[in-house]
Amino acid sequence: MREIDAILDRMLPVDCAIDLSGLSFMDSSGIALILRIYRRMQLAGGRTVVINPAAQPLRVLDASGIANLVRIVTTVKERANEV
Amino acid sequence: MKFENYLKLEFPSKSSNEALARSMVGVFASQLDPSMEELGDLKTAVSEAVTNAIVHAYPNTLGRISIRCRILEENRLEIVIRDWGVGMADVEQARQPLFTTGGEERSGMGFTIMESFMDSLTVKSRPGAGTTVVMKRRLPRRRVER
Repeated sequence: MREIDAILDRMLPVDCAIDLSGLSFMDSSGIALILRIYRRMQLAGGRTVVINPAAQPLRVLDASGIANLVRIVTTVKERANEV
Repeated sequence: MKFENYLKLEFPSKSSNEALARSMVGVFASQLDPSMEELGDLKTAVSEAVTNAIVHAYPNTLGRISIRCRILEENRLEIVIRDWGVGMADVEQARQPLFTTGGEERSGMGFTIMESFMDSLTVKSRPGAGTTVVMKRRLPRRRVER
């Protein structure tokens, strides 16, 4: 959590994309991290998006209801929707 | 209650044992031939319960956590996770989504996820006497038994 805060303090991003493509497993501690980023970005007037969660992390994201706050993007699906 | 097989584990409340616990339960559950999604659900639920014990039951010390898995009738898997830590005065409050005593580092979604991923969840706790979490899920077998 402290590392995330340090990165956000240093980079001061306008928007934040959380790339979960390399993550094979996530529990609610990951939700806490995403919520932390979301709240920081919201205070700064920025957006947060989660990119390419694998199947199990996606199930945890769905169960937590975090999709009501944070956009979840799977790049192949997004491209298919564009076509 | 009749059971076909069981597994008992005990380990100290170290963070590094979260992954160990869910892997061990996953290996035990594999005899019921779960799908990848079912296996992921079981491991996630175990991870939540074990994390609760590590973070909340023993906040300033290392303590004992036990897991007992049993295969009951009709391919139901029962997982009991128990600690002898600080316990909770109000279990119903603790089970409310987003409620946490762990500050910003916790999401308060642990019990919600256990309830979503298992067929049933019961939690018994008393201050000073620890907490017992019992989760069950039926895993219909796909392969033919020989």
